[in-house]
Amino acid sequence: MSLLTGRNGEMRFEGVRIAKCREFSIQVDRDALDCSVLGSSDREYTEGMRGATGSATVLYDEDDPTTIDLVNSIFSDSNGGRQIALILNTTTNRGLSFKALTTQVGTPVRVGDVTACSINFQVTGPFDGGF
Amino acid sequence: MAVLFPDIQPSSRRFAPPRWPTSRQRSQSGVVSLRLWGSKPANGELSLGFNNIRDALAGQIVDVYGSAKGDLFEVQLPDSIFAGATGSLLTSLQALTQQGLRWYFKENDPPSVESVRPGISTVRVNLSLELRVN
Repeated sequence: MSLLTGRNGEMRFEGVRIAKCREFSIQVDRDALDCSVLGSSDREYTEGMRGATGSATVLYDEDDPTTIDLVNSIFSDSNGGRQIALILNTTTNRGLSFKALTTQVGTPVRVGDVTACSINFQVTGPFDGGF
Repeated sequence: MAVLFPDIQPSSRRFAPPRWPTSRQRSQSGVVSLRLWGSKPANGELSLGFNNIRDALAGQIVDVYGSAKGDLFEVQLPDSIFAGATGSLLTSLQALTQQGLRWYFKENDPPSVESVRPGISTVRVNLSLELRVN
């Protein structure tokens, strides 16, 4: 049994590791299209469109240009999104890679706490890799 | 000439029975008199929905519209079109064409095809049950 923990994970932005990522998550959804017909008592479905949203929390590290670039990607108006990779196991490089639009960035600053940025993103286009 | 509709079970079906040809007169006193102008009802309506079907099947429906030259030729409906109907309703639906009535695509109303995702479409078809002179 080889269970993974957060120590095995890594977040990459444009192919470069985020220095201090506290957590990330991703939710992949797929529509189920109803194709039930008259005369049947049981609903039937076929695959619809797939989509995904995700979030991450990164520690604000001014010395890490990738982190700064990720946080400021909310201000970018470039089309097509930026490349994000969420690696579950850095040893095998297993994880999801995709283009995403940053949809929300928040930076609470508190006394006695490390400044961290929460980032939400919307995946656009197909995935590479898998869970 | 008649064209056979594809053997597909619809997801939804709405049927309005043919109407009797009557005219109505209302006198000044409010009395209503009706006159019957024919021995058979006509102009029934059937709306069919085929939700999220494969594009190949959607193409077959579009092809039937072409083969029928729109609302020109009769469309013969397979039993699968009436799937889910039972008892006297099914009997009534199947008996319609035995009374000389025929199904046609509704005038100026071709099938509508809504593409849902690659390879999957939703099709709506409106048919009219008419009494025509051959």
